[in-house]
Amino acid sequence: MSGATRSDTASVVMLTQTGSPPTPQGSRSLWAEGLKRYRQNTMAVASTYFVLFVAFVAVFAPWIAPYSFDEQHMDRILQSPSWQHWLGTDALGRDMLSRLIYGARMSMAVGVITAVISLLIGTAYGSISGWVGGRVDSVMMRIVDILYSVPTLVLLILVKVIFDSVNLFTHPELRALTGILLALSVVGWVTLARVVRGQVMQVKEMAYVEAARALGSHSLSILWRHVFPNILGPIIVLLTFQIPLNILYESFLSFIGLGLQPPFSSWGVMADDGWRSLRSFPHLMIAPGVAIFLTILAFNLLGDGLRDAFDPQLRGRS
Amino acid sequence: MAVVVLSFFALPIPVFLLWLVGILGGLSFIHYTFSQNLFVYVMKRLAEALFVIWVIASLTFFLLRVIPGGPFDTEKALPPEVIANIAAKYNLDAPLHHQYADYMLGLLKGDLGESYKFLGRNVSQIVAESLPVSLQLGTYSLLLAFLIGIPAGLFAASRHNTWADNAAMIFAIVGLALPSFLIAPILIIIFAFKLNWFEVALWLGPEYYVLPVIVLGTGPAAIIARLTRSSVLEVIRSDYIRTAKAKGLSHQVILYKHVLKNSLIPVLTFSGPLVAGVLSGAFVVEQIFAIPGMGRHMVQSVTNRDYPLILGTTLVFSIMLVLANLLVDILYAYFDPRIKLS
Repeated sequence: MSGATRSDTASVVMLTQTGSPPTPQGSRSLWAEGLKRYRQNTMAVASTYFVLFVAFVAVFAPWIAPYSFDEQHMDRILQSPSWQHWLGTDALGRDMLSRLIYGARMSMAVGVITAVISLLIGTAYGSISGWVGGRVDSVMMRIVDILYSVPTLVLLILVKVIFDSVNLFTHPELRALTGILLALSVVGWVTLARVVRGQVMQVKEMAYVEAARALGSHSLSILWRHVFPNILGPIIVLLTFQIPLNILYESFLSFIGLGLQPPFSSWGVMADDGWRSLRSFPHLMIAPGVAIFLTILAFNLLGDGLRDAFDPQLRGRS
Repeated sequence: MAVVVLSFFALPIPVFLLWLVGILGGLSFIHYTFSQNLFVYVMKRLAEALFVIWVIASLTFFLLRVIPGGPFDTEKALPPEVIANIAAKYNLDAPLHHQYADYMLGLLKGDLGESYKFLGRNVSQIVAESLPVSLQLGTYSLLLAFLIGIPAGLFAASRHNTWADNAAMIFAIVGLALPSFLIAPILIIIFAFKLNWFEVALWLGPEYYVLPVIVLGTGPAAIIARLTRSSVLEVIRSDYIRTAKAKGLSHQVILYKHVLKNSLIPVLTFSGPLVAGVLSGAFVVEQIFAIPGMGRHMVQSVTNRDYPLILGTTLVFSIMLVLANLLVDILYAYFDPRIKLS
């Protein structure tokens, strides 16, 4: 009996999904409807606020943080949380809260910048591959397959080794960051390219694309005016999943000592600093760990919410 | 409790792998006798895999030779005779294409070259020592992930939209976001420092395996749970399950004989990326627990600019991933007769 009710509700959901006819006003109301669905998802909305909060902290770090990220207080080493230092101090007497706040700046910057760059590369590569098709497509996808055959972290390390020896910049802070940024961007586009290619190939067969072609539109203008608007939803969803992934990989790289170098602060660098003194001072490792955990959780929930709201085809899939 | 957990690791890995290889070999043979499709397919895929590995080996070789600087750059300028000697020892004075040919010939013989840093040690030796450790860590973690993830996903789906479903999915979402350097210190503090059940460093026996394997397996377990759940939910709605219900089959029979079998196919397809994730995650876990695996050697080789070791570990990691993907595709072809082998 309960099974019957379940499938009934399922079919009702299906009806409301496919049954609502596309409104003549076009895409605007589709987005509005998606936004309405998104607002009803409490977890996703809460996550959005959390992500905005972290972004705010990241942007205004110098004004929010009580101390600088590398300011050492040699008389207050490895202190427990107190009113003076809310999260205590580390082995060099640096304020943990300040380092966490500056860490948010680095981690978020790396995550967002690399996700956007990978998105641009991935979209361009995927659309060319999917649009042109044929031999070009198979060669381009073979290249993607080869990149896919190297574990991500291995590829990241390799790319970083190569870029680090090239010495693009002499400024230490820029140099520390460019290696990671380039590595994550070079590595991250591969998945995106695959998905975009699939989407483009699907949309390519649609009647409206054929109509545009019949009217003599140029390929680029069809891509820009008809294909991209229709695959924008999945691309945005992918972007929200790529950001936390890149934040995680940055922290992995920094944790194993091949990413950002101290005294710069990112959550991975802090975790690396903390685990050496785990037995006596566990808060050093727990604090950045919790920060990464909450941020990634929020991004994932946000992405899930966006996908459920704007991409009903994928609803319920993980 | 601790004993139960430890007994999980009593499974000797070589025996387990042998069984796997044996079963797979047997299955291939049986299938081969019925149709030649799979054999041809496997051969084709093997050839492709070899090509991919050759490309990775060549690219990495040239990139690491081209970049400026090296392990022998010191603060003080070395006398030219010393530099010439070093170059001669490591075959760096030969023309680049000769070096490449020598390296490739060595690869065919399983020789990965000599380490720059560990004098007199061959990279193949280092890999031979650390690879079994990494394989154990990875296999146990994947096993744990499947053993927890599949039942959890099935459980959640069979109680769709109840509190149990929600609890299992919250667990999965949390597990997905937990970075290893948050879960590891918590587990270490509870189970090693307070309860003193397990060891926290090195890789010497079952009591050393437990914590790293749990830390590495949590993320994959969460992914598998989510995947299984959504896949089961999709299958439950399909027509043939409705038919089975209409025939009056019991809930249990439907769930285990019809639903589970069909819904595990997406899980199987996802095993390739899963292996890739575990290989990456192992770097961090090996660092935290001071496990002498391949990941740690690769990290050290980067710090030491020990290029032959970087090259060797990259290659072995890639071979592992390529083989895992190959295995997944073959299994996929077995379990889903609907797909065409191409």
